[in-house]
Amino acid sequence: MRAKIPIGLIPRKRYVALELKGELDARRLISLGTKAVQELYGILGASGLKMALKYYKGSIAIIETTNRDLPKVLTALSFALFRSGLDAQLKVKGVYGTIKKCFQMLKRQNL
Amino acid sequence: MRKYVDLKVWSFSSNVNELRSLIDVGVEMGFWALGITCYPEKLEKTQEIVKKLTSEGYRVFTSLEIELLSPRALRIMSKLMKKRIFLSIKPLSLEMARRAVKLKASSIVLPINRNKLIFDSVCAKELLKREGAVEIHLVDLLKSEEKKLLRAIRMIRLEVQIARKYGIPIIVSSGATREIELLDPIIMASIAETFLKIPKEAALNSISDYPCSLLEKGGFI
Repeated sequence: MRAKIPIGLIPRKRYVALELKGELDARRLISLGTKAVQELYGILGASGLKMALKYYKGSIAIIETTNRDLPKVLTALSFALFRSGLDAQLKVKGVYGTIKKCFQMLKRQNL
Repeated sequence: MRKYVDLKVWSFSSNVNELRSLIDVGVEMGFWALGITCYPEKLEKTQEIVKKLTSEGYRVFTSLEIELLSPRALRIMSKLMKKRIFLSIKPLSLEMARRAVKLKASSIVLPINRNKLIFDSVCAKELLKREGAVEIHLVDLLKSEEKKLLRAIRMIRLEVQIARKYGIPIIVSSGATREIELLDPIIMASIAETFLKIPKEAALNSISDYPCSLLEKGGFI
């Protein structure tokens, strides 16, 4: 049985397509990002924040978050990269409301 | 469609090919224009490189940053004011900031590593008269240690609030020193929104509309 939550309480989902450049893979990015989220926003801030790796292939990763958390997630990811000292860079390919649109964009760009 | 501008990309190398690849990465990231930044000692060399790159079709401009530590540094200012360059002043104390806002610089850079406020309402009122802007380097923020970052965010947030109260535009630039440090425009806006606590629209304007209007006003591009 699925719990029912009033519509207004659920923030809208966002799917961020990222291109990872340099010595970095998606799993590492997420583990670094999770640590950075706790470091930056603390336990309370991190508890309400959604960040999940939905798909990755080669240098492309799709991260699921919400409209509300998007700036915090992107900040945490780039903060994590700077802290790690890795020679790596993030490029936002696009932000979409559904994962389907995200894949459509990747297909259009042959990624 | 927004035109994203990164006003500060440091050019420590005088190798044109290295700069060319740095600009290519910036363009790929989605930047409309990039500011090649240097200190006054390397101004002529940088201007030469920028001229060469502009003739090749790159949308770049010379951006100069001066650290104002003592009144002695003000002496070179009058010469630099006459040149057609994007001039930023980085005051390192409140006294210097009060002097800096009276000069006709394009922007006042808020330093990261410090213990006291350097931008107050007196500075804000004066800067408003001169139509200047307040600038923050994001890479310096991201690179700073935990304690320094905590202190810097606390002070910069207050300074940003002061500036916004007086209607002074907030500009955000990367201040990247290497190719790998260049930030995506969406990420820059996100960092500005989170670290500086400014609304989403203002964060996007800080990397697009405000710097663009400064460039157009000064005729740098």
